Amino acid sequence: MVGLLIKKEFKNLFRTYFVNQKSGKGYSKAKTFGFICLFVFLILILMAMFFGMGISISGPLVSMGLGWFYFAIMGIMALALGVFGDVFNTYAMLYKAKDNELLLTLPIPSSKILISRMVVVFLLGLLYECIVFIPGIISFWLGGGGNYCNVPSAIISQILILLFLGLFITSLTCFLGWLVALASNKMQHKNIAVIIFSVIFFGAYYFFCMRLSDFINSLILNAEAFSNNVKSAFYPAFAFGMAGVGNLMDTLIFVAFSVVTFAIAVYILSISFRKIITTNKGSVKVKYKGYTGKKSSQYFAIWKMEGKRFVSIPTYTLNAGLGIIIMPALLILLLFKKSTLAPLIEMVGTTEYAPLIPMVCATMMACMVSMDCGTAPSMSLEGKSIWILQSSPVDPKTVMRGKIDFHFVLNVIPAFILAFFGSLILGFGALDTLLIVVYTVAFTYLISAFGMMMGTIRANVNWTNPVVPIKQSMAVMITLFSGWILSVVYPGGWYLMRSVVDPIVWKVVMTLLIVIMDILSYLWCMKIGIKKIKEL
Amino acid sequence: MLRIEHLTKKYGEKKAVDDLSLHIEKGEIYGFIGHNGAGKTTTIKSVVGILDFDEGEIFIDGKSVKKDSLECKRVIAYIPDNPDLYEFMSGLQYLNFISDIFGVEEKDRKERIEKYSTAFEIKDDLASPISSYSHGMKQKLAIISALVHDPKLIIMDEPFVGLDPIASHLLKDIMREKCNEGGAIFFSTHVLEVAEKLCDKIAIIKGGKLIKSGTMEEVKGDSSLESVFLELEE
Repeated sequence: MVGLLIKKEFKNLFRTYFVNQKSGKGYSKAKTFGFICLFVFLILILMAMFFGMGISISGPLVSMGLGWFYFAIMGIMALALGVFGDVFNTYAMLYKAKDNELLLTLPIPSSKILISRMVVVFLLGLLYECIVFIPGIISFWLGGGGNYCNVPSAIISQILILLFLGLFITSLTCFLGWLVALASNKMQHKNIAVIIFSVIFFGAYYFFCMRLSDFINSLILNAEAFSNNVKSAFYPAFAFGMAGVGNLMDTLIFVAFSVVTFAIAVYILSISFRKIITTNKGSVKVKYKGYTGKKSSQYFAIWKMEGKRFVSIPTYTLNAGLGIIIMPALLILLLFKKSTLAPLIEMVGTTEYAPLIPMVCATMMACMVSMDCGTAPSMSLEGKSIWILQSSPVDPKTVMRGKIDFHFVLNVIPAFILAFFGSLILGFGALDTLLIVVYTVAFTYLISAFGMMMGTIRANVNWTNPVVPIKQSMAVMITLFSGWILSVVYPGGWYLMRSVVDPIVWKVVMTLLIVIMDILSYLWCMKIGIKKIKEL
Repeated sequence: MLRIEHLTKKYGEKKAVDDLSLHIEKGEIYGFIGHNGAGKTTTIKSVVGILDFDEGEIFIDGKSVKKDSLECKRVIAYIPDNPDLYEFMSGLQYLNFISDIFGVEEKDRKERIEKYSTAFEIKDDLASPISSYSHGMKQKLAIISALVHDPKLIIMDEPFVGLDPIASHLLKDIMREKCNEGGAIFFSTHVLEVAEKLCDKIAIIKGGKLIKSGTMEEVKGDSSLESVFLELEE
């Protein structure tokens, strides 16, 4: 039974990537191969980042005989990324699937429905964990780990803790998802509960990331003191670390700990599973006080519809709107950290790399707006109500424009403010400020238009859980990573060609390139995309 | 009002609708019956512009659905077999959205929303989110949204599914009223008794082909519609 349910969950998960949603047929081998390559490439990029971090601390720690401490740190980081990556899916994956009621009518114990969904949570958590932990293990061995431990037992232990850390991550994220479900079920505006919880979580996560570099430096300098503190005050991390270097007893303790935690999580969640998915307290009846409304054009009707959808699905709001919160927060941070940054800018400003400073700032802006690709899942989110737009007398061009413009305006306002005032705070000249602002605005539009293009090409209106198009779709992944890769080309390209290309010319050319891509993406949406709406 | 000429729609090699022709005049309630998978929904979706078709032509109020899709959609209302509406909106927000899309003036939309929501007894729920509605309430809202822009032609796919007896009765009255005002109704149903009592004309589709059509008397003669239908389906 559980096997069948798991198969169904996986079918749902992989349909998006490997099956044409319209025809129900699998994509060609070439297409499938291409998607897999892209996916692997993106994972490898992230792994490379963590490898860089791992290799910088593994050598010093291992040589000090603190290999266990290295594993404790990597374990905590893998746990953080696993929970961070998975927790926002978990609530929706466990409790918000559209087939909840159908499954409850079948002779299936609700605990089995729950377990089948937890298996998917486990695999996604494991994926995030591996992004940190596999480079961590490689760094350990490259950092001389083999000289300080029993190699066979260390390898066995590392494989075991890799798998069982995934299980622990699942228990933790499911528990957090359960807390969100409990809290939101008691609130009238349940979306607010999810968003507040998530923003607090994101805040803590970004705070941690911002302090990461300081943390690593301080860690290497004070490794002895830190490790003693961990050993005495945080024994599970010590045990995990010891398991990492091959202590089989600690490995078994960790494995047992993960299994017990998972069993407790399954027990606690299964008690309330049925009640939570059938409780609809958030939909309290609102008293009708008579007709209210104002006539709008079709274009603004699409805006309003898109806006309501954007704020009604917390995963969507967070996934496609996080930058809107981060950008003003960054501007405030920039104001406070101006004195810290000024000497650095001054120092680089006297070197041949001075033109890189505004380019890097523009790149950071581009990376941030790339995270807000709200148009990419927008068409898929029409779901089964796509018939409304298809049968209404609204020009598909109006629909496309409305969706693109809504997400563009949503992001361009904070992006413009940060780009403009950030440039002023950092003391850039008028030309650099202008170029950063124009580049940012053009890039923001590109993410909206290109996201719409990818979202239309890869549209999936047959989802059973909105998390699928929002977080697990190829459209979102391609838009996000294309944005990041393209943004890095800006400073990276000039750095490679700095001896032959004038920085001003490069900046203008890159900005024009983005504008051309804006136009091409927009034209695709208006010429080809509108025909695809009908095919959904 | 609606003229379907030699409509053919294929899914791959399979013909879902095969050379189907129908004429629906103003003032007519036209029923469309057939077993599951006969091609009713495909025909309806082709008429309302959701599906492209391979051969034939569809004219609504003299305009081609192929060439003048938006103009055709302006005069029709469509109620699907499953009321998948925007669950993130309230009932009123949804009706306002549809009114905006159809360019309904504020005075008219207010009057119609008040009138039909009162009649269908969901006025008190209009401020609540659609996600909190029952299937029947969603169906009622879908019907109101179809009426809010005063269409000339209403096309419905299984409109009575999920409606309570009072709402079903009301819908039948509204259908007749719309036809008396010069509009037309084209709807599919599996409830043959309803079709028999309500329809001026009827069409029976089987395997994508129209096997019988005409006035109720022409189709059923002295028999019941059910016996004619079962006979034709054998």
